[in-house]
Amino acid sequence: MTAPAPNPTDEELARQARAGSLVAFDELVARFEVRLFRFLVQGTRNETDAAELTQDTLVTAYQKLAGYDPARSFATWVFTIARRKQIDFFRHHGVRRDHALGITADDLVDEADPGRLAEQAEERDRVWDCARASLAELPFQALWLKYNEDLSVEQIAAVLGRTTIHVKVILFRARATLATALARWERAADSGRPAVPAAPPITARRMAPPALTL
Amino acid sequence: MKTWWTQYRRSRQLDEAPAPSAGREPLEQLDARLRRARPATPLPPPGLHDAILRRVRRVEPAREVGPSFNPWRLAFPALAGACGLVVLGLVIWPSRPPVSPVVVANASAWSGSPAADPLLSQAGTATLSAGRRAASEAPAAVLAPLEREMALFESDLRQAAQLAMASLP
Repeated sequence: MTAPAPNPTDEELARQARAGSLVAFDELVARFEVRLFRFLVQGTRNETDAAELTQDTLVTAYQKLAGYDPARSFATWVFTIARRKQIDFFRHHGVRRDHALGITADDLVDEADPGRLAEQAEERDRVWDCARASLAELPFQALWLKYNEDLSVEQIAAVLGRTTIHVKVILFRARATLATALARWERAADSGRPAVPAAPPITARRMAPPALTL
Repeated sequence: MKTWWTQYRRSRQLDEAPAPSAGREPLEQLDARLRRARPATPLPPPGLHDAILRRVRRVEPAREVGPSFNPWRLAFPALAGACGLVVLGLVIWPSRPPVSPVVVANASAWSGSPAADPLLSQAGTATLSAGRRAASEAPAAVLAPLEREMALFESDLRQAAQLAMASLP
C-alpha cells in the first residue's frame, strides 16, 4: 500500500473526490474558495453575491465531477463554471456592470485626503483599481486570470469561451488601454491633483437596482 | 475570409509584443507591475467553507456514466447509408430485366386486383412457366452447342482416318 502524496495536485484531488473522497474535495474547496471569491467579487462588486456564487460554483463542480477529465486543468474547469454562474447571475439580476473601454478626465475623482492616498499607494499599487475602472468585463477577467491566477492563454481561452488568438488580442488591447489610463492618472497625480479612477465600490450587501428616471 | 496563415501571423505578432507607442508605460513594466500589485479584494466570509461543505454533503454527486447517446452521432452513418442506397439503386436500375411488352400493355389496362384481371393472370402464369422452363433447360441449352461440336469433330476424325486408310498402298 502506497502512502498518499504529501502535496497532491488539484487534478489528483479531483480524481480522489470523483472516487468518493469528501476529504479530497474539502481540500479542493480550501484551495479554491478564496481564489473564486476574489474573481467573482470583481464582477459582482458585492460580497454576498460573490459568496453565493462561490458556493454555487463549488457545489456544481462537486455534482459534475463525473464529467471532469483529470487530464485537464482543474483550475480551468472550475473557473469556467464560475464564469458561467456569473453570467447567469447577471442575466437573472440584470445588474451587469459594463464600463467604458477608456476613462476620461471626468472619470477621475479626487481623493478626500491626499496624505491617506500616499499612504495607500505605498501599501499597494493602484493598478488593479485603475484596471477595474477602465476596462470592460471581458478584458478585465482576462487580465485577472493571467496575472492573478497565472493561467496560460489557452486556459484563459477555455474559461472565457474564446479562441487563443482572440484572447491574445483582448490581453494586448487591455494592457494598452490600461497603460494609457495609468499614464493619465499619474500625470494628474504629478500635477498636484491626486486622482484615482472611479471604480464602483465593493459593498457588503446587495445594491438595489437604480431607479428609473424619466 | 481569414486564412490560417493570416491568423498564425497575427498570433506571432501579438506574441512578439510590439513596442508601445510613445507616452504609454512600456508593457514589460506594466506586466511586472500587474504581477507585483496586490488587488484590494475583501476576504470571503468566515463561514463560507463550512457552508459549501454542508451543501456538498447534502447533494449526491453525479455518478460516472458511459458516453451518453447522442442522436447527432447517427447523422453521418445515416447520410452515408442513404448515399450508398442511392448509388446501389443507380447501379441496379439500368441492369434490371426488361419488362415484357405484354405485361406493359396489360398493365395500362389493369384495374382492380391481379386476380380479377385474367390477362394479367395469364401473363403472370406465362412468365412463371417460362422461368421454370428456362431454369430446367438451362444446362442442356448451355451444353447442347458443345455436344454438336464434339459430334462434328468426331466425324471429321473418322473421315480423316478412312481417307488415310484408303490412300495407303
